[in-house]
Amino acid sequence: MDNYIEKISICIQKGKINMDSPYPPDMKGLPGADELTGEALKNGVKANEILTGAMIPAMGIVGELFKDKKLFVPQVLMSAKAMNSALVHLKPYFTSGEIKRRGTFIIGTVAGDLHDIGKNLVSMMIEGSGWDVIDLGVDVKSEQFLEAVKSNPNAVLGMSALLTTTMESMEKSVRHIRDLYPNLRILVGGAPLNSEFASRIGANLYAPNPQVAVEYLNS
Amino acid sequence: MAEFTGYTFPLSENSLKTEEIVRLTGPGFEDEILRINQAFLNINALAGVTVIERSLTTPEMGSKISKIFEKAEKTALFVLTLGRGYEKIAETYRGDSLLYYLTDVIASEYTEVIAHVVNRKIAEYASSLGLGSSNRYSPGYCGWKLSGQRALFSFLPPIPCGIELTDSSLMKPVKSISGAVAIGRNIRFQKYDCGICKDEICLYRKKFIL
Repeated sequence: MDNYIEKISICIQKGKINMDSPYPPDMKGLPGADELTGEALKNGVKANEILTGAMIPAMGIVGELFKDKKLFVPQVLMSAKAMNSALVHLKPYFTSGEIKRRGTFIIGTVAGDLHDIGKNLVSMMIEGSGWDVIDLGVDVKSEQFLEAVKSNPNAVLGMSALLTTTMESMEKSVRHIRDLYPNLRILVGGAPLNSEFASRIGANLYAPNPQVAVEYLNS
Repeated sequence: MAEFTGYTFPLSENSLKTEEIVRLTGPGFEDEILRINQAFLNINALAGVTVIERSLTTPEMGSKISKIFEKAEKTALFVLTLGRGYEKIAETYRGDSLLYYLTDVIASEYTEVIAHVVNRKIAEYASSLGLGSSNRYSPGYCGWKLSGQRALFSFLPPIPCGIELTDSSLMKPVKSISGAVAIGRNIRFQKYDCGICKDEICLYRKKFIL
């Protein structure tokens, strides 16, 4: 059992999706997270063990390495893809309730802003840490955030802004939502932001990188 | 309205080498980069320059940049874009996080390459008049507020090179750069210019210092 857990973990850490994937070159021709997860389940490894013993810790390691600038973005994306290929096998277990997500995370880029690369990266890292992610996309208005929060009252909300001009739009959205949901956990991210800004507008956290967001969610 | 001179720059004449892109993305994805880069070579970047016969200083430029432009006799205002060509490529890869990211990185790098070419063209023009020229400065950097984009665009024809401003001053198509270059007897190009700004997370600081 440990063998599968370790192998799946390594595949996710190294971004090995499946047998056909040529990346990483030193694992060419070997089974990836996709095949190994399928095999593990067939051989009696519990879905929850795969999730909590392999996938979540592996993405945690990737997040730490990225935070320490030891990985480039494409390497993180490959890890997220490998994790997603394993997650496909776990979907029926989520549906049946045999395994549970840690919670729901709603994310979107604020109104007036069309940047999505950073937001997508954060989404994938958070999903990899065991959360269900609702991605509202880009140019998201306050009302859309509110609607998603209303439908998922226990969710955590994340907002992204990449422009100094759309920081104003973020402030408007956070203040609006905070008025209606004073206890909602809100985290914000994006290059022009800082902790002082996050605190001033009423957000709980400024996440300078995906791992800080993951650590906050799991705390 | 001062004359707006348009230029077309085929990316095939300004092509990036795979290794230049790998420096930004890290190794391991050379085949993907090669394939995407090939698609960019069909794009013609568009640029346009207007020279106004005075210094440009607006409150949004901030004190640091204003100090440079106050000494200028002329100001060259420019825009450039990869246009819809980039958006078509990005759309092709939107469903694949890796390829979409690589496309974004390559597009940003080509936008910078064309900005260097435009900066050089302005320098040549200044030099032909016996004048010096500065580095290029853009709204959103070096203390020039992004909202200053509107003042800059007010000197240009409507929708220059097909570029429109959104309410949040974002340029569409997204891989576009606007900016200004100071021209004058006492204007000099600075090899290193990050000293005028304290923005620690600026992408140019990363590029030129780290």
